[in-house]
Amino acid sequence: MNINDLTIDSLEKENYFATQDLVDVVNAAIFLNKPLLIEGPAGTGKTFLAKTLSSLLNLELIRLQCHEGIDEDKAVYEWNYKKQLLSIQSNEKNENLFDEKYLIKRPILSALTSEENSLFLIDEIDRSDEEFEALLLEILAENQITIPEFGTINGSENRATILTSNSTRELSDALRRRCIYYYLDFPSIDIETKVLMNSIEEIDKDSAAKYASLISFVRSLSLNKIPSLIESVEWVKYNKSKNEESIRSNLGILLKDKSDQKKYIEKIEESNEFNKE
Amino acid sequence: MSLTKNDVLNFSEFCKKNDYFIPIEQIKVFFEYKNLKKLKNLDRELLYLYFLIPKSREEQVQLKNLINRYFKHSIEINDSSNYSLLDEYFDNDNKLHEIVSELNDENYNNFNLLVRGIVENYGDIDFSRPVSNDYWLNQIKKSNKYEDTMMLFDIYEFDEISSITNLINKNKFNKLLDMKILEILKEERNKAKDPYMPAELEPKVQLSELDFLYSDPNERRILLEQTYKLGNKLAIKFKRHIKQASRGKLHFRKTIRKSMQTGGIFQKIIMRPKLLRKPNLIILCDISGSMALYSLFGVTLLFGMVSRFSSIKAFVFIDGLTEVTKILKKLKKNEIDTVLHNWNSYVKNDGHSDYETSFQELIDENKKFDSKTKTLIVIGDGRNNYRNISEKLIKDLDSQFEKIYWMNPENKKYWNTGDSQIKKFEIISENTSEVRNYNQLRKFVNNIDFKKTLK
Repeated sequence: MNINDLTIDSLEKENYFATQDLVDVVNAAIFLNKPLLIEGPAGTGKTFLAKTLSSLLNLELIRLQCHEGIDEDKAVYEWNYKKQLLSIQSNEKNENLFDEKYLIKRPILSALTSEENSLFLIDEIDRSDEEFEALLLEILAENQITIPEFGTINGSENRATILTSNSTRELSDALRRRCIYYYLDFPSIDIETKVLMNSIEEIDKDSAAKYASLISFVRSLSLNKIPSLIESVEWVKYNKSKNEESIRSNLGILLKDKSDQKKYIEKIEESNEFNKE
Repeated sequence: MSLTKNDVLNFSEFCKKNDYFIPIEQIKVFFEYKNLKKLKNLDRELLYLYFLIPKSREEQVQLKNLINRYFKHSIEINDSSNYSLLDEYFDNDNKLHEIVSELNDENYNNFNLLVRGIVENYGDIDFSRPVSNDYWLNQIKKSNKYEDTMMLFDIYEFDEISSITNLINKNKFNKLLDMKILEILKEERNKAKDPYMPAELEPKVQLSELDFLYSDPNERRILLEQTYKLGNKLAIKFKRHIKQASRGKLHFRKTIRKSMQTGGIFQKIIMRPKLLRKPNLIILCDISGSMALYSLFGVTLLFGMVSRFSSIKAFVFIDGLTEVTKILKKLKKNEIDTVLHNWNSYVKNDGHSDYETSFQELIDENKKFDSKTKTLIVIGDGRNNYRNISEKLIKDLDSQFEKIYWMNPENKKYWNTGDSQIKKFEIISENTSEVRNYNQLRKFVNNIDFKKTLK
């Protein structure tokens, strides 16, 4: 695909705030035409990156959501048995039953044969089984797929691929070897400030920065469930709209665990005492 | 300066010596990209080297360290060095505001002067004394000038939210200050006549190679998190094999019903799921005094496994066996050390580890479940406090469990010395390894193979 290099600014126009190194990696992946594997905790904007890229670069987004027990039938292709049966019974001439018109295209096959420029998103690959990963290897490396009754289908070159993973399970080396890897961590204070300012109208830069550093402080506590980007934005948004200045109100939006909330309030009080000394 | 092929190949050799293997095809990809993009700048090249080669988080950290050591060039990623300027800083005393806003603009002149001032103010640094830079840093930290500088952050009144921002600014500043002082100390030490060169000046051991016993609280937190994940991984590994064995006999009724859709033609044969067998993985952790900090890592591993899959049974023992599966299940991830807090409740007799009694109890416990295949994982040092371990026990263990894996946190050269009786268990166990750091733990977990056990 011939696409000009992305910059931070062009992503920002689409409301996605990234660091320079993420932009570099995305450029490299598109340029080398290799799949990009993004790993990181939940809620840091991995899927959103793919959506942004597809709208920014005018790519058709084909999405495959992985889950436990996903297999070839659901992901690649399936033969339309009923249609085949009907065709046998309708006494037509002996025609080939394994023809393209009896083939139901699932996301992988449709991504492979798509004629427009497309972005193929394989979401949460870590939820699928190990056997499914092996299935992907042929597509990621050789850009082709083999259907036993049909032959090999070669894919078009105009496709970018993004894989996301929450690292709940270790991915195989064979899969990793074929990708370019990036670890997307929780956003830094600068980026979180930008996100807050972008998504909340009535916030000014100073208080956005204050909230951003508060949230990075919350994430550094050892919590059971670390608040994601969306949760923090929603929390600040609601507090601002209600003109609540206290940072202890509506905690349920930010922290979704009782012991976490307790810990948070303890730490806040600790830091207050520390400042009074 | 730009990277040539030789540079990269030499670097790859260097990595190989340090147990990091760079596949040749990755180097090819790097050069392909470099030529197409006409990269010239060393900074950018190293950055791409860093991004295009590693394939996992651990590898990234490893490669980052290697690049730092080989090219003497540090890769800074995602590190926000900006300070947020609070309104309060603008009031009366402008000094803090000045320093911080200059740092934000990456203007370090005044800051360097300030740090030099602090070091010179302390004055009596003697590099011929056999102490490291860290010692002098701590001495300087006690000096008035240092404390005065840090006090700049404490003189304001804040509301709740600003006070946290201030705290973060302060910590960041403190770190920067310490780093700069260490840098100056290093320079001064090189200038000084016959300075003492302490071992600490050598590069630090990597986290994954670090002995659990010598980890500081921060490192320990990361290591425990990783250990928990390993526990999860081990549990999932176990679960997968049960799932694979779960196809049973033909489900006749469902198959017929399914065939109705296709006009009575059988297209899909449906199998009855096989009934899952009762628990057959038992994991056991010694938490006696000789195990020290290692038992915390052991219990974390137990927790990681138990929280994933219900049919794994976890036990701890000192001089008697206690089942902790239920206790662990109620806990949250950050409360694991509370298990060890009520250590007393696990003491059955005198508080010294007693393998004979504990294993005997385990065997009795195990007879209650009538399952054919069992795996036992033991975390312990095999130090029996000069008590006897009978032949019968070893025989019983061997017949009761199909496979025994033993994780010994003791240094291998001390095995079988003193009261250690590890050799008796070594005969019957599939794999006995020394596990003192994260790398060894990972290797141990990867080597456990349930597949062979279940057949």
